[in-house]
Amino acid sequence: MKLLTKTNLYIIFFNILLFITGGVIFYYIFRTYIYRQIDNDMLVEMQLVRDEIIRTDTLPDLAGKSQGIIHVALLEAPVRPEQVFRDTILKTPGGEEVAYRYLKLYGNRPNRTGYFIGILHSLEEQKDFLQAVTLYISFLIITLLIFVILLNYFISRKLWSPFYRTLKTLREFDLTSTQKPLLEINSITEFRQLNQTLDEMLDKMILDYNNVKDFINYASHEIRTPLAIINSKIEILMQARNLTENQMKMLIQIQESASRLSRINQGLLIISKIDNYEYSEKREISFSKIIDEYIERIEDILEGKSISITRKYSGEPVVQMHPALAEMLVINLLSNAIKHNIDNGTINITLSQTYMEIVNTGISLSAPPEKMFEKFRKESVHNESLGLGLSIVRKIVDFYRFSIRYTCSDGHHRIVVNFSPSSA
Amino acid sequence: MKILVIEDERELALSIAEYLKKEDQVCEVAGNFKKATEKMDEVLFDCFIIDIGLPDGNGLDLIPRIKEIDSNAGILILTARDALSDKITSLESGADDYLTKPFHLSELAARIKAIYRRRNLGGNTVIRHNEIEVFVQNRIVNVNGNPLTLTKKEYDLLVYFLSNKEKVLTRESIVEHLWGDEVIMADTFDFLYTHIKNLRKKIMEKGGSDYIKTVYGVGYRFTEQ
Repeated sequence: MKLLTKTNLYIIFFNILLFITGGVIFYYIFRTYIYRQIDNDMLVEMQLVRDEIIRTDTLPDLAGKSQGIIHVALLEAPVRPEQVFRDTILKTPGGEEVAYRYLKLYGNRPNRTGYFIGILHSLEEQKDFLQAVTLYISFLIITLLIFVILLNYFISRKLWSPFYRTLKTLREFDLTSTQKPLLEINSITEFRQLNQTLDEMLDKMILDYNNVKDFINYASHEIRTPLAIINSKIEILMQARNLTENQMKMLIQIQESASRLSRINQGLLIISKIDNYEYSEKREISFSKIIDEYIERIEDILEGKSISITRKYSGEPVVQMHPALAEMLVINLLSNAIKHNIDNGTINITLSQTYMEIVNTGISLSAPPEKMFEKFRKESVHNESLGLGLSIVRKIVDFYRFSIRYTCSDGHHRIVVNFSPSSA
Repeated sequence: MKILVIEDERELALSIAEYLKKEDQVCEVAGNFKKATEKMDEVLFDCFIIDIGLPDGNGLDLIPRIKEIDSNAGILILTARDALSDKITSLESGADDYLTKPFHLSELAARIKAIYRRRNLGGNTVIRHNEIEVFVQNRIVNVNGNPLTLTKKEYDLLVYFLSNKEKVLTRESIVEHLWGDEVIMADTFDFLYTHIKNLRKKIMEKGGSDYIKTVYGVGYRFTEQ
């Protein structure tokens, strides 16, 4: 839910609550006030009539004595004095129901016989008035509510606009790009603080990222020379004729570990260099040529494993890439298809203007397909596989904004590199 | 053949020199730019192995000086970086080949010898080893004067062995030389074994000696006799 919607909902809810309570209270106060007015009028009329009864001890002339209906009775016996107000409904001759306020008074004359005075005032006029007032108040409340909502909407939108701008800037920010986003300096303290804090965090993030990048780059380069020394010393040592078989084996083990180290190092270096935009050069690439050359180079290995390769080129992908990266992409995917293949297996390569597809037979994976492109992932069956090959593929694919999809079914592994995912 | 190794990592330079040194091969070492220029003025070298990152200068800047003294000198560049731009600038500035650290000494030896053959003998050379003759330019091999039909891999293998005579070559270094380092897997060594077996058989069928000795669990050695 959006921030503005949420605030509006709160405002609508509490305003309605407030207006309803206020309206109800107002209605009752108003009603009480009107009743008191009517009651007072009736009391005044009643007092006049009562005074006359007590003074004259006869039924007074009632004409012009009341705005409503008045009737008086003289009683034979004394009564218990009582004054009562109540609401009542009378039927007109036409059968219409009319609301009345009714005042009843019982009292005793000086000669100790009782009298009764009843006064009825119609409430219709007041009811109409109350209705009109209620309608008016409701109208006022609704207008006010709409006004408050609109006002809140525009104020909020204006107030939060720096926040939305910051949000937009941050969402568009890409850590691997060299451009640091510019956050505005706002006059509102909170937003200024937010942007300042974010700015500091961004600085730190970019610094850390660059440090890690530089570190990997530096370390990978610096590791090479000692590795070269280790390798060369092993090779020299191997030439000694008086080594026992056991010593020779140990030397081989050292050398194998050293070359594994150097392959890991090489992989990391490539990844860091892609991150560092060191492969920015772009050229027309002939994928079919890269594939053909590589297959020619390893033909005997394919023969030895009895893997048959079918190539179907219906077109050449129209892409501009760094030649080294294009080669790495193809070789990594193909050597992967060979490494994880089975004896008498197959590899089918399809190349078109928009995609490259490699389908190979192989044992099923133990890991979910989406994990395949993670760094250092390796299937335990092949202990020698480096695990960086596919993450280099992923890096290259991301770098050129291609897309890659991996699926596996019935012992067939299928990798599709789409060179123009946006148009597909 | 006289080789000058210009490399600031002393231990690496010494290893290279020791590996390349033979009766007919002189190998000297210079630890920096200044020493290298001094040595170049004293002696005429056939080949140079140059590290790009020298403490007192860029190794590539030595190339014009070398070419000035002897335009036919072979140059192989060593570097701890493998940026493509490095490779291109090296080759553009007149170097013959390029190797990234770490490397196998046997690979270095094979490359430097190929450069030497190309440079000094116009590529029109014959590598002779007793009864074996390899005509490098048209990739023809004769044993006792009889032509030998070799596959591309077998030919590459033979030349690699001939560039590293009497040296123990590990299977890994041979595999990398033949197929590149991307395909190394458990059974690659079996394919290597097949190629070696075939090469050995073909040479012996034409009356050649069995020069390829197996170093158990390690690799192979091509013997002089």
